[in-house]
Amino acid sequence: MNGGGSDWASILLVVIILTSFLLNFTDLPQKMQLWRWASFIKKRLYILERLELESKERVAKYLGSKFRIENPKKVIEDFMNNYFLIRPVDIEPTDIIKRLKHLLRVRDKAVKLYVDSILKDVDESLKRNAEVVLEVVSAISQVNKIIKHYFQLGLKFSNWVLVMQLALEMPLILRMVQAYHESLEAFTKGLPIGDGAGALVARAFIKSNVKPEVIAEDTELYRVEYNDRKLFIIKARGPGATVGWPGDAVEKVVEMLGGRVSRIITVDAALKLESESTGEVAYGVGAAIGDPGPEKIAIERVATKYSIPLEAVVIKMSEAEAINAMTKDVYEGVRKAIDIVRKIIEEKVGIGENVIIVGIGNTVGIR
Amino acid sequence: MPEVPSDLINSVAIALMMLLLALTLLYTVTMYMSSRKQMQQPKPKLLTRIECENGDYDEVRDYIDGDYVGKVVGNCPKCSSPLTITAIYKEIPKTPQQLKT
Repeated sequence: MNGGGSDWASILLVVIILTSFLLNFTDLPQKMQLWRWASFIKKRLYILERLELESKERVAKYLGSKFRIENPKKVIEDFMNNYFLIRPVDIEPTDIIKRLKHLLRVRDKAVKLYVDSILKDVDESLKRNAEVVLEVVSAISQVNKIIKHYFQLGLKFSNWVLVMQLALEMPLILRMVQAYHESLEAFTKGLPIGDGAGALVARAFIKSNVKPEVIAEDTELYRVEYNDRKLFIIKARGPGATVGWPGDAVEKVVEMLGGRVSRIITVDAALKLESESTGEVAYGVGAAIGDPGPEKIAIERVATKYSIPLEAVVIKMSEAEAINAMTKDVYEGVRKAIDIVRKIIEEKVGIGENVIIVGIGNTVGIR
Repeated sequence: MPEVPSDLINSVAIALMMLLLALTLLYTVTMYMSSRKQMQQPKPKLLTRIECENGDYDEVRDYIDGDYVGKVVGNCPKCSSPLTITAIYKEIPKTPQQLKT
């Protein structure tokens, strides 16, 4: 070898061979990947922690200032660690819907009792808002716990595949938690949310002088005349944050009318695909309702029993838009959906016939 | 085989290192810029839409605490029928870039 250039070339060659050996015959690449993904997750975990803390502080401030609760942090903690729901046995599917419905009702009552015990002499709609606010904080905390569990498990056993999977999911999880965190604004102020699009469509057919009848728990029925057709409009009782029990309500109204119903029209918010735009409206056949099962099956069963056609109208939006204050794009979708429902009534429901319109979704901010 | 000049190998090695360094720098700057871009979202405006039940009149005003859809807020200046809140929604002002496109 002669000259400095050759020395450089020799060093480069040794480095390449050494690096190649380390990368091919040791666990170093996996360790490096694990370290990289772990640091990626840690950064996002800090954000999750911050969101959880901010949510708790915001809710504590809301409960303290709005309802004058002395120890709001304890109220939040007591709610967060309790009120879980164990899903019914599904390897024996007989009467699973009945059992699930029963469990959902029992949990709902338990949560209501808890909120009632804390918020005495408070308007029902504010109680429903407080209930959802507590559910949101609980959900954020639960997601945070699960993420930490898998992260620590992955690090404990140097399971780089688990850590990598978690890291790849983190942006989506973070987006969801961020959306939940932002949704607190809507629930504390009582603003309509994207999920309330169905309820808003139903509301558009109701004039201010029409008095509601309670048809099921937290669910109301409005009887309205429209172009010589009899509309039976069902929606959750607003303006508190509740979804009501629309399945029960539809069942009762159809039975009350002896099955003489020309059509059942369900209107709901639907999750859009990434390629779709917010506020797009689509219609089809079936019950447009995204519950765990009991409400949807109740509508399907009663419609099948009396051979009533089921019309579904959906307004598309993202998950974040569904749980946050309604955007203008979603509202424009609502206006399109109202026109579609009107068209269905005018074209498919005969003069003098009965039609049931069900506005599905959380009715916060919508009476 | 003709001998490769050692100066050439030296230059190539240094050029490779410089290229790697430049790429790393470019990547870091791009990531920083994109995160700054995400942070600069305009604040949404909350609006309340009020309509006459007979469809004679409508207006959009800023949201006031206590507003909810279905609330009667007065009488129509044209036909005196009830004016009710028909929607509350947030409008996100468009950024200068969105306005250009």
